[in-house]
Amino acid sequence: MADGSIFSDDFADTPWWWRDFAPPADPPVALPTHVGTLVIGAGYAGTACALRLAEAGEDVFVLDAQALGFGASTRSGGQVSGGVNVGKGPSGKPVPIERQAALLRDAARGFTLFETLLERHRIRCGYHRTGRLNGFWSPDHAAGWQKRIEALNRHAGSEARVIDRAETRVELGSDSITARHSSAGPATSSRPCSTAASSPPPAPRAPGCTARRRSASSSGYRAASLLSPTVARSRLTGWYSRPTPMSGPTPAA
Amino acid sequence: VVFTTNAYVGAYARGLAPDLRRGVVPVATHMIATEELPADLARTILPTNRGVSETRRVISHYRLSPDGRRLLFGGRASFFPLETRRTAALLHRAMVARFPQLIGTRITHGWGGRVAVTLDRLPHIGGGEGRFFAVGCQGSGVTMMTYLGHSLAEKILANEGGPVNAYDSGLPPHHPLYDGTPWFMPAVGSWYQFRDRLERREPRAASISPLVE
Repeated sequence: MADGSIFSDDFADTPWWWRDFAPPADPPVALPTHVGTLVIGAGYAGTACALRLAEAGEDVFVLDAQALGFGASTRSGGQVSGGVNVGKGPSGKPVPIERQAALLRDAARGFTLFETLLERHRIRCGYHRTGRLNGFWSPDHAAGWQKRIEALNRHAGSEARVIDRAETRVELGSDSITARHSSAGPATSSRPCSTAASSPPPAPRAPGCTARRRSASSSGYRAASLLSPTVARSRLTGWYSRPTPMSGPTPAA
Repeated sequence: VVFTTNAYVGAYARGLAPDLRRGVVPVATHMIATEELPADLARTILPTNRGVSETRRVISHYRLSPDGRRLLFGGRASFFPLETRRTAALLHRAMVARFPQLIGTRITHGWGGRVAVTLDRLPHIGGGEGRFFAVGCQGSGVTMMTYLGHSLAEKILANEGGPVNAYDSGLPPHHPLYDGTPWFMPAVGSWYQFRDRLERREPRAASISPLVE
């Protein structure tokens, strides 16, 4: 940075993920004049929907204003979760308690489905479970998370816990961390202030619907995205190229 | 027809699915990738290679790249439309505030996208009679949107009215003053930034300098 610039000479205003996977430039086929189901939006939701429909023998076509995965699906931070982010938000308004268990349970199912799809279609996006830290910004946030962790662990199987300052320093190499005590679990950790949480190291598969097969919280793994090699160590290959009947997790209650 | 446009609903065809659009607030979010870091420096940042997310209203999240050589740092850098280098510079500043050891580290990539926020902060799927949707993952969608798309297919295949999962609750709530154009986001975003600072009881400058207590 001799010139004082924070930008490299080859700075690009495109996602870093696109080095390994760029949304394809051209649509693969001519537009049909008639389809059974038309899906608008070729991101995770649209492609996952189309895949399932196609596997069931439906005539389905996916349209997008841009290329496959051109939007947020290839622009993410590459972290995945299975419940820790449900109902998060600045409003502080908690998820309705009567829906909480089902929302968390189904988020964990989503995580399981995600891993199942990666495996089934051999999507080599560099996915690996790392666990996650949620950094508590303020003592209030820490206190709120203390209350949420139990439900998160019970319904989403997140294995979250609060970690203390010393443990936070082991996890997060920032002198700015001032965690007074930390927390844990699903993801947590943090930053400047107050507490942090982390998920435990790889552990045996947990029971239930959750997502954790070897490591920590279902909410906390880093992953690669399907379309984008988000956390990805290697190139994405074979995206939906091998649809096979799916017998995995069913979303229905 | 299945609408899986999420935060991009109405982005290219404004009149499309106005009922869906009114329930979704698109929020711009940004990322940067650093140049490759010396291995020992990378290890000082996230020694155990976790993914990190902070509980601030104006979120920051970061992780090492899959090869462990770069830091990928993201957040809601700005609630005003800014050129990519401007948002990247803001994120660089936030990154250095957390990791002063990266002060001399340059950025090789900067990019942005849109996340879809709903008024109840929950994802939604629903529909019927030939028209379905999935929307609103609040910025956490790699697994959630995959799951909701899959669920939506199950709903279509089931061809009956009952909910297929806990998120199958119909359209996200509307607000009488919101028609799908997030004119209020600069104000709301600034308010959130203010609240974040307030809760840390720190002056504005603290958010851009190394955070020490």
